[in-house]
Amino acid sequence: MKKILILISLFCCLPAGAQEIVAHYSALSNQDLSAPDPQANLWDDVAKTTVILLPQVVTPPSRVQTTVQKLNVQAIHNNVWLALRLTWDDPTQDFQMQSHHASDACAIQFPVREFDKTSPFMGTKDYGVAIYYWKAAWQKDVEAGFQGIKELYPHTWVDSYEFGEEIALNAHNPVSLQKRRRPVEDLIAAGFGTLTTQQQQNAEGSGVWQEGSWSVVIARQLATGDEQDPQLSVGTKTGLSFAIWEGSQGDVGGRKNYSMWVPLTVKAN
Amino acid sequence: MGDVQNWQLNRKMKYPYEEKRPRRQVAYVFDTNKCIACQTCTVACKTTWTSGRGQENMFWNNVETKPYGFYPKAWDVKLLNKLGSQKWGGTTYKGKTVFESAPFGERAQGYLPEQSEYAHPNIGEDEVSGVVDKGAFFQGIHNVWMFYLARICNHCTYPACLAACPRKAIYKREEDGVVLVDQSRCRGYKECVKACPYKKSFYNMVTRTSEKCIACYPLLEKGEQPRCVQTCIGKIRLQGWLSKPQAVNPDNPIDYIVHVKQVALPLYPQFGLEPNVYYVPPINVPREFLLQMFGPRVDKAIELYRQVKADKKLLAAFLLFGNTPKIITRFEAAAKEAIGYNDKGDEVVRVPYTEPFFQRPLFDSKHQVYRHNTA
Ligand code: SF4
Ligand code: SF4
Repeated sequence: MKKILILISLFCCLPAGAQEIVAHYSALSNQDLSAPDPQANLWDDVAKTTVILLPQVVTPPSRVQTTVQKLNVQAIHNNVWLALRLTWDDPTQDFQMQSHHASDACAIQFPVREFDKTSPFMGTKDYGVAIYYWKAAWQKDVEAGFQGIKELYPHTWVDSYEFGEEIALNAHNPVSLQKRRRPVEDLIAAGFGTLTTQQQQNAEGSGVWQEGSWSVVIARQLATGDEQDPQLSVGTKTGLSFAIWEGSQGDVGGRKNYSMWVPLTVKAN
Repeated sequence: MGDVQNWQLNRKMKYPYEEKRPRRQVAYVFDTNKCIACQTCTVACKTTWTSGRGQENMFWNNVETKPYGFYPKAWDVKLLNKLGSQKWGGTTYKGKTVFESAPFGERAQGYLPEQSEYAHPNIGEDEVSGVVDKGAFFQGIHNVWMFYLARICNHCTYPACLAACPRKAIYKREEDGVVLVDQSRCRGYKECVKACPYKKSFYNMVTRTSEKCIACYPLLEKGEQPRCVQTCIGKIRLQGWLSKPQAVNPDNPIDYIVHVKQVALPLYPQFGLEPNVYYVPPINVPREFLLQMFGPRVDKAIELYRQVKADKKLLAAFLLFGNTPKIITRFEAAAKEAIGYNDKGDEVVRVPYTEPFFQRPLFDSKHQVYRHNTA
């Protein structure tokens, strides 16, 4: 176990090399970015950066092997919105919420401050991170309505729910939301186990699964005016890192595939 | 990683956190010999806490017939299989606990049940251990065996559910040792469902969070025993506060039964969680089965239980079961009655050792009828 940890920590110190993501200005996208379409033509001409994923073995519960090895990232902006399209191969589409199922998902992590001082492992107390998280189960909720018991088990029969309560719903737990408007959640973190839903939800997103691969666009405004988001502008240089969950393999929480920081530049043109 | 003392294993063991025992620990004694599997406890719990959407197949309390009853299906045999050899040297456990045998990247050895494994909560009901030979007849000892095992969350001293949660959304209350899932913090990773060897943490598909027995803490806070205890038809249950092993109070009925007399034993102590539901083992079940299920103290426990009539104080402690909704913190074996007191020192129950015997004349002259029980 120690050996693996040392290897991993060596990996963290290595620079990301030549890899980088550049978000160019895209005039085509003026109206589109706040309602992103992962299959829009405008993505055809945007350069792809391939990002290598690692299994999360730094803290338990973990993944011993990757379940998704790599993803492609594309980025554009229209001076107001920044949109990133993530595409990866996944032979199974997993969005069900039964107890032994897990949902496919992806996330983009931004450092709140300097990216070279921020740990890619969910940040630290002084150098926190903002995370924009998309989940296939939520995409399904948005498109087809909440997946309740009747949707999951059409033949269920129950005499009465009269005295029942949905405690987490009453406690305003964001994962229990039954009327979801967007499949993306804005979060912050400052170390393992600290993931917290942001007070303001500004990110938008959408995902489509087709022929064995997911295409997901996550978009946020460059300047969100939300103090829990890092504020970006044309010219910003920062870093991004990514995580992918493969539902059919039971990926959930820390059982995920993640990347180290990849530099991001928001270019004027 | 802590090195914590587990008195049920008579040794130190590895646990992800340091040893920190609550001020007092909610604990139960269940007498398996008295359970009739009426499921009143199950229904009392279900109607109180789990009749909402997403809780359709969720039973915080269940009663299964051993050896072939399980909820969820095969929960214990699956884990026992994974755990490997579970040897004891005297009262010291020599095998590995679920924490010590955790594979790389896990905090505990465990598995996530399939949804279908929850679909038959009373599977194996009243199944006996084997086939009765043709021509066999009852000769005082049954040829086959079975017994009812009532199960709830054990509010473990070292909960695996708590250990496994990467978000620290599960906590153990300092004031009573109750283990709770924070419903505003849980993100539904199901790590607790996977890690709890007793499978007493459940995933709710509608709230998308994990839920578990809360030991009826609103009742505990009022000085009353939980619903499953209060409603038990067989009077098999007693809930109280278990003292730390080094501060045993022989006048506390739970301490007396569990620590002093050791007549009630933890369920699968070898898992290493120091569970706090203590069972009087069923006396007519083969020894090997009981050794695996309740550990090496089982022979002595059965011997003592068989002689309970001769042990006035132990008898007094057992007579407190099911006779008051109040939590008894002190008891007394008076000349003819067992007396229980609450933590304020008020008497809350008084039970005679022998029920008074009434003999009534065959003819009831007031109602002008004969008293007889034939139609
Ligand atoms: S109510 Fe009591 S007797 Fe009936 S099944 Fe439950 S524990 Fe057994
Ligand atoms: S029985 Fe299971 S759910 Fe209950 S405290 Fe122990 S580990 Fe947690």
